[in-house]
Amino acid sequence: MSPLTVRGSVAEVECDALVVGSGAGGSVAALELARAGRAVTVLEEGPRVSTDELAAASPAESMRRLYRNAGATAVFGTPTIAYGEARAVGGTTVVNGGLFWEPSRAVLDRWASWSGYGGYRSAVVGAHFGDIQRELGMIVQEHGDGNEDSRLLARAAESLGWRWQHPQRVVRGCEHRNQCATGCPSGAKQSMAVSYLPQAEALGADIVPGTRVERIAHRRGTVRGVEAVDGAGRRVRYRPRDVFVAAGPIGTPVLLRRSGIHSRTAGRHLALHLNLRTIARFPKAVDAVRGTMFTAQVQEHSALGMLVMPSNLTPGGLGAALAGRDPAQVDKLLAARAHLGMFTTQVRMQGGAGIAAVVGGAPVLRHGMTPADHHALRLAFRRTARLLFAAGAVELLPPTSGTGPLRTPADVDAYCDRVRPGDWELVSVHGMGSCPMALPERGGVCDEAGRPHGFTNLRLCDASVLPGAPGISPQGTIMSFAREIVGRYLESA
Amino acid sequence: MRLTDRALHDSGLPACWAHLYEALRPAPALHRAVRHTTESLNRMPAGYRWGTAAALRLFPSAFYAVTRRSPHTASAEDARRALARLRTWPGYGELLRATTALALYGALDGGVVRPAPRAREVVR
Repeated sequence: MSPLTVRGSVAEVECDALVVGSGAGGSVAALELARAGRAVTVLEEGPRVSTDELAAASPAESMRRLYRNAGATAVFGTPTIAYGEARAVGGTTVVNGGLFWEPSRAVLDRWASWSGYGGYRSAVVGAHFGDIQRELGMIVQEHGDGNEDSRLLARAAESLGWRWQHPQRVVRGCEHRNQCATGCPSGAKQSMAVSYLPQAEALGADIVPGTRVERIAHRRGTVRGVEAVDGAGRRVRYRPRDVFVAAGPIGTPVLLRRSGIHSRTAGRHLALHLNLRTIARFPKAVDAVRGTMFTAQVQEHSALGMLVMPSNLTPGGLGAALAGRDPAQVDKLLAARAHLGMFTTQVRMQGGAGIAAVVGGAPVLRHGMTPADHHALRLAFRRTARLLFAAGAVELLPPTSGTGPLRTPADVDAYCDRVRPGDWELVSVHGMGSCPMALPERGGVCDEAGRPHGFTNLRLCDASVLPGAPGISPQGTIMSFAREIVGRYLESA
Repeated sequence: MRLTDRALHDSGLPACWAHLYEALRPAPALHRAVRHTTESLNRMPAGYRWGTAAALRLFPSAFYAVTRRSPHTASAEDARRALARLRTWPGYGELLRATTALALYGALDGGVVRPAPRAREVVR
């Protein structure tokens, strides 16, 4: 990267390969390009936060610093859904659980049929997944000293004959500090900030935090420049040979729209996993704050797009989850914290979400939850309740603030009969498929090489290119797709 | 337009929190709650900030309409009654839930400084 000229107030920088975004997809691009000897510049809108800084900060400080909109982006609709994604060097890998699952053959085959592209089936994606998991040191995360909530869940699943599994994670010596969601304070989690990006830097990549890309300038399908604003508010125009956009499932389509690239289709659809949070009270203390995020995931209903697991419980997280309830009830529950566990049921949303508009550069997100989604949420809650009662829970608080404790299966049935779509309090941390890799006539934004249709030196390589929601934590899928996209580019370059 | 701790205090909402939630009663906890709430709101897009700032500015009037008292001088019972009513008002239900969530998170997870990590190698 070399500064060229300063024209007026705009600095111009000549560069070779420019990567926009440093999360799971952008980091793969940065490292693979650097390994191939390319001069790589990575632009990241958020800050660079070291493990030492994470260790010294409170979770609340990290929440504000690491997450876009401090962790509460709204997806409007009935109900409004809180969507969380990171905005930092390393992207969402800094604040996720480090879960690393391979997408199933069935999902990849379904995507291939729908998209019209057959190059991302299990043989290809699985090979990339295998390489990445070896590099990141994937392990099967067994129970630690704490994780009593996970042990209870696993025992309950066994008592019901339901399938469960320890999670696969990319961690090296997890210390069970229970702070995955606000940045690992021990450096054990192999986020991109402590793994791929330092490796790319060692090979010469230049990582530029605090730089927001405003627009991609292009003509006749060729990118001519990338306009950005750096941390000091200076305008910088990069003149790259090739551009890899990995700004995330919302950032990528918003950037395309701002740039007049596939404005009608980019971000029109956004696939989401929805999280239902159920709080369970147990007669014995479970001390759910002790232990890593979770160490058991119930997968019995994964074919229906449902997974059940304990949440990363912290006092503040519990308080925030209870905030819609009566204050006296909040006090009582916080006082009984040692007996509470918080459980997440992940459900694959069938109805669409998408970017309804971009106002002042910020996206307005909307979803259209369908009756089928409402039915799936009720089914998911019923199954979760059955599991938690089998785990010994004596009281369940459903994700609906206006509903009191449910103490019997009959209470659960009555609740499921009367809950309305607008009553659910839902969270999502997995957005995908906003610029899907598919034929144009099928609604695709990019081709099998990751290029927006009609473009030559522009590629997308993040969650936005996935043809849909895989029903699992998507980091492994995103990284595998990104590696294939960059591999194809390097073969053709 | 930035929301300030002062503006949030002026709305009277933190006084209500201190009445209603044990976790927000100690002054240091309330301070952390206010700080986290304002700093989080200031990281949101301009439209959300303006909407929230407007709703907070109207909060004393809304509170008065329900209780005939100021939120700054109201009793705990008045605060409980007023917030229960306001939660049913269009817009205020969302505002109260969102700001209370931020306040409780900030108070309960805002004061812990974690021990320094062990040195670790990055993956090569």
